[in-house]
Amino acid sequence: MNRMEMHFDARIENEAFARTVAASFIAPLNPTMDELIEVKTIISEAVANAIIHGYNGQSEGQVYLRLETLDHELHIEVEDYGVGIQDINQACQPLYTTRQDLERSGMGMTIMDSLSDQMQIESIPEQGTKLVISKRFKHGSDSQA
Amino acid sequence: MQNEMKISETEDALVVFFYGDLDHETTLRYRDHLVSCIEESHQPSVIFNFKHVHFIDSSGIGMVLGRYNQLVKSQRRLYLSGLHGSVYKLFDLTGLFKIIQCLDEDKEVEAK
Repeated sequence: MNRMEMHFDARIENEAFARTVAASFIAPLNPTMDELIEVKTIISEAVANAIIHGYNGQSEGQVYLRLETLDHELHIEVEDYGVGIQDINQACQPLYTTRQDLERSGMGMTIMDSLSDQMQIESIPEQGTKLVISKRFKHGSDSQA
Repeated sequence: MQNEMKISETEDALVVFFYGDLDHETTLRYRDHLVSCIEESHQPSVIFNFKHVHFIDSSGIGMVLGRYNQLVKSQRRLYLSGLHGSVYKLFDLTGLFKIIQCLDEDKEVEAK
């Protein structure tokens, strides 16, 4: 087992930073190129949601990223202490977005859900949101790829 | 690779090459310029080339949909080209190919 935790300012440029950190952290598990990109996509969507929706531009807010690897499985937690989600079911509907102005596709939750093996959302309005995601690597650490 | 966007024109199309990552930061940075370039161009079609894109997330999908809607309003077309691996997969996953046509081969010439 290996674990890491970090937190960073809710600035959009930290989306790239967070996915790069995650990619480095899982490298010892020898994920395939596809799996590596899938993890980077999941992290990007989750972190962008925390920054854009959770903290809504308040860059002093902190986004927490926790990763844990165990055998061939990766456990991801992305947490913010922002505004929370009023209606989780609605937030997960494809194409639903509260920020039409940003031209986001409203596909973030759908993408994360499709790319992960399990996804759970815990949110309390005005307190924050935590995404808990797990993803199994097919080949795992004995892969030659 | 540096994240950037280069725009050129052929005889009948405005061609946009994206380089590096297409995420929330870069799409927000490109948007206004891209919107006005498309607005000012009178070419009947616009081609987005993704050959040099290494990473894309939902904001990239949002950008494509946004420009598609912009073009539809003036009866113009948007085409995608240079799709590969993970970029193709994300477009496929989000059902984008149901409304936007993908060119088989990218013949567009990159702007220097």
